[in-house]
Amino acid sequence: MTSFSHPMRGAAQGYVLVVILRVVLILLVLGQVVFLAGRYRARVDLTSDQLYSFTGSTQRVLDGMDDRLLIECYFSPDDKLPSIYRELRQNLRGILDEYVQKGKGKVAVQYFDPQSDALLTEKAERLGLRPTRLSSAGTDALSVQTIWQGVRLRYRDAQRTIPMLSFLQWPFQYEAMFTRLIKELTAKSKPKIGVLAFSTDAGTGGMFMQQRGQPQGFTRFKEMLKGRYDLSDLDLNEGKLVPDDVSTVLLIRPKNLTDRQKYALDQFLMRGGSLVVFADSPEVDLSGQRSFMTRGVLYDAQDAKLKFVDQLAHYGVRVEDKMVLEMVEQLHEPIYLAVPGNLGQQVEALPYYYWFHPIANDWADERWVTIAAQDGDGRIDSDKANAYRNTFKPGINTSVAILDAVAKRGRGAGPGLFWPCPVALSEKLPEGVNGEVWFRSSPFAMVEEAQPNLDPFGPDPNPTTKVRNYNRFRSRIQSKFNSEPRRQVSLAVALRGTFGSFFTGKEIPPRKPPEPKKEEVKDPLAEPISTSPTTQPDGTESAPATQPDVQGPPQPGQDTKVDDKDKDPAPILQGKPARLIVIGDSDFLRDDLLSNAHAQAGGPIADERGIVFFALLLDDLQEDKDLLELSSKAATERMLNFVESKPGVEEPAEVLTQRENRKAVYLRTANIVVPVVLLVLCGLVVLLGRRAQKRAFLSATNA
Amino acid sequence: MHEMVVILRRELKSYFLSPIAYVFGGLFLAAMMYFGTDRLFTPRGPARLDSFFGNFPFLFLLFLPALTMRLWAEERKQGTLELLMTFPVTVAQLIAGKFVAALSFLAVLLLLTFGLPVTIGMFGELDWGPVLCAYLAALLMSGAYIAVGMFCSSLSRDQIIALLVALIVLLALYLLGTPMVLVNLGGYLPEWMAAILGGLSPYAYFSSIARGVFDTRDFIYYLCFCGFFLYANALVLNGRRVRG
Repeated sequence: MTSFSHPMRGAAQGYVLVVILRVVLILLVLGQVVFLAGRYRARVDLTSDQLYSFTGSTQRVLDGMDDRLLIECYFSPDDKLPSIYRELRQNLRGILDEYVQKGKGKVAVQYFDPQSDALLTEKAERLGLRPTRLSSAGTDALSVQTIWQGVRLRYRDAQRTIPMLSFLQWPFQYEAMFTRLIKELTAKSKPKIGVLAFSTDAGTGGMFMQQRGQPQGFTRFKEMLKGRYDLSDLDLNEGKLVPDDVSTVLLIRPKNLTDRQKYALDQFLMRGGSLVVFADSPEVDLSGQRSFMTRGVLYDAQDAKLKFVDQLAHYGVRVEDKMVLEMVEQLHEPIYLAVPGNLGQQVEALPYYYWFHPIANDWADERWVTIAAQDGDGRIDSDKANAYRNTFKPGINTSVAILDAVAKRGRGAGPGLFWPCPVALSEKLPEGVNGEVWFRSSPFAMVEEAQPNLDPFGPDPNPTTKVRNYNRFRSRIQSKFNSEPRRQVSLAVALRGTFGSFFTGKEIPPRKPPEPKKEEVKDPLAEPISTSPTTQPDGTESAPATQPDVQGPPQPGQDTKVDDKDKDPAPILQGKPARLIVIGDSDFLRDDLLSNAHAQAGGPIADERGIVFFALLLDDLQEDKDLLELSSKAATERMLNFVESKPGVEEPAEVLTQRENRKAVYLRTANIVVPVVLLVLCGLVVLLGRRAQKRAFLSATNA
Repeated sequence: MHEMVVILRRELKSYFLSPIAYVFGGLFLAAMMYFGTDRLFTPRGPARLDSFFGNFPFLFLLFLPALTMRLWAEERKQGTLELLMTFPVTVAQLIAGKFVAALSFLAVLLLLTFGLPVTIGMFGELDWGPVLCAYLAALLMSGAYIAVGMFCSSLSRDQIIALLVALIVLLALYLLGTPMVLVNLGGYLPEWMAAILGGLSPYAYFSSIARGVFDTRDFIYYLCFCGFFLYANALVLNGRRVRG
């Protein structure tokens, strides 16, 4: 039997084969193209803050490595993560991949799952890595999962660990963390910073013995930054000068400074060092029950002939022995008070005028100028307004790179300052010195002499009495503020240039010779002279305790005169370019404030913005471009502001919120309706036009 | 090129002179703006449009098959495809004309949403780089979806079948790009295969551009994706011609 196939069917079958072949080929070609496009790609980050691009510092740090860096990731598997964290985990893996690419063979990443093996869990724990518990809402129940996300970085014999890596929104946050650690690991030496910190005086208040008399020091910040810097206590006793290898000196809460110490600091500046002074005036007792009693800080020792304030003034800085009060409540670091409410004890956040943040707000803005120039009846004094337009300045000087970073990272706010004192530039700066104000209060601030007691609640434990006292405290300040002209108070200044010595034409304070050791006169016959080695408690042997008296002339090499190093070098009266920064507060670096020791008592609490500013300041002083670039990167806070407060009208928060909500609803509705209506209107116009055309055509054909 | 412009003009006319396009456009716009602005107008909230653009992949997946389902199916049902094939135009010109017309219609709809970033920019400091990138990403992704929709439309004479096939294909592609599906796939398939499947989804590339980073990899991916489905479309049309 002979079968006949339709000629078209054969063509179609052939065509199908060709199609399959073509599809496979084109898939292969396109797959290759996409693969190669992934490998050889160019990218442009169009975000204004360059949020998705590595900084140049990461490449510099990786290029500077001589050896291989191993990043060990102890991660729970992605499928064990709650769904909201999976994308963040993928971002993290992407960042780590980028390190491998940028490392050009010098960076390797290894992943381990500590939950897969008991030995791995044990190893991770031994390394100090800690899991965390993440909760997520499922379809029918809330589940809690134990998640590991620790990292160990190894470089030669050194290592750094991150016990639990947080899930972060932006890649640059991971970059800042990793590159900083890599820099610490690979750095050949750490910059040396001298710290001359004076503890707060021991308090006298307090119910419990252990709370009394505990002076609060400044050590916690050193722990926080020890990976990056060699922060060591500066010894200026016995007339010593600042060692040559110290490039920065932090003088924290200067107190009882001798003339010789002032000379050492002066000579350090003349040598071209960077001096940062955290001044305080006065000191507030926070020990025990936080009695808030004030004590004047005496910068100078009793026998000092020269005043430290005069020394600073000589360099171009005025430090006033007063306190700054900020009246804009939104800038306050609140004080908390437990008050009885409908639902039992409630904690209320109340404004406390002595604790506040400078903010990167342009106070010369018309809104603020108008409010400041208004009198009690709401009339605006145009002369005052004109003057204010020229004199009001932003609270944070964001033209300085590190302050711009401080503002960005602090969401527009600088460090929290506690009982700060005014610090300003002298009207006429010394020749060769430039200065700028870093932080300012708002124009709604005032300055007053320190009150003996700054506790707004009083000692009575009765909450009603506390509230009454607080209201009294508030009305006292408010009435004083109303009677004063508006002014902005400068809170931190920075100077740079060639300073002249404060000791020019003055007697150089002599170096106090070390006290001669008073040797105990012993009866030589009372103890036998031992010449045999003695055994130490650890089992090692040491030289005999007493050497036999050697008679005769000195041996070669034996020192017979004062060592050269004990000689005072000639004073430098006109120095090299140096930096001087004076900040009107030291409390934000205090151990007890950084550790939230007063949180239960209602504050003060130093939030992380203080330490962020401090770390950035050190990076800036070391002129470490890498660290500064990493730390400066931040996503600009872009907030919606639907309604502006009406100038001169004090609007309750609820009314403002209502106005905001109304406007938001109106804007949303308009945005939904307008484009749809526009499109429908266009459609109607087209439809009517076509209908008219049709009618015209029909009437023409009928005619 | 001239022939393609003629086809493009004809298609655009059919969009803008038909009331159905306005109804579709109105619904599409209303859905985009309603769901996209849900969390956007929060007093003192961030001045960002992430939540608005974040809805695009899913909304496009729901609406674009409805736009593309008629492109070939209707021509076949009405018998105008055969007529078109007799014109002195190549299949490639026909496809390109229809594709660009659909894309232009969608671009007009996207343009009508531009009031939203302008409003947000008036009340907050908007970062315009990511916004413009997101619009570009939306256009590229809609191009990809239209290419898939056109291909599906060429497979059947019935518009509903074309719509359903396009919906299923796009949904599968969308899901392949979501982290949850990717992670679950990793449990069943070898890692390299899960990675390839994940790499097929336009969703991941959309997110990459919409965050504000223009990457040649993403751009080339979309070109290849569109190119592949338009080529497949041409193969189907040529097949019909061969089979008569």
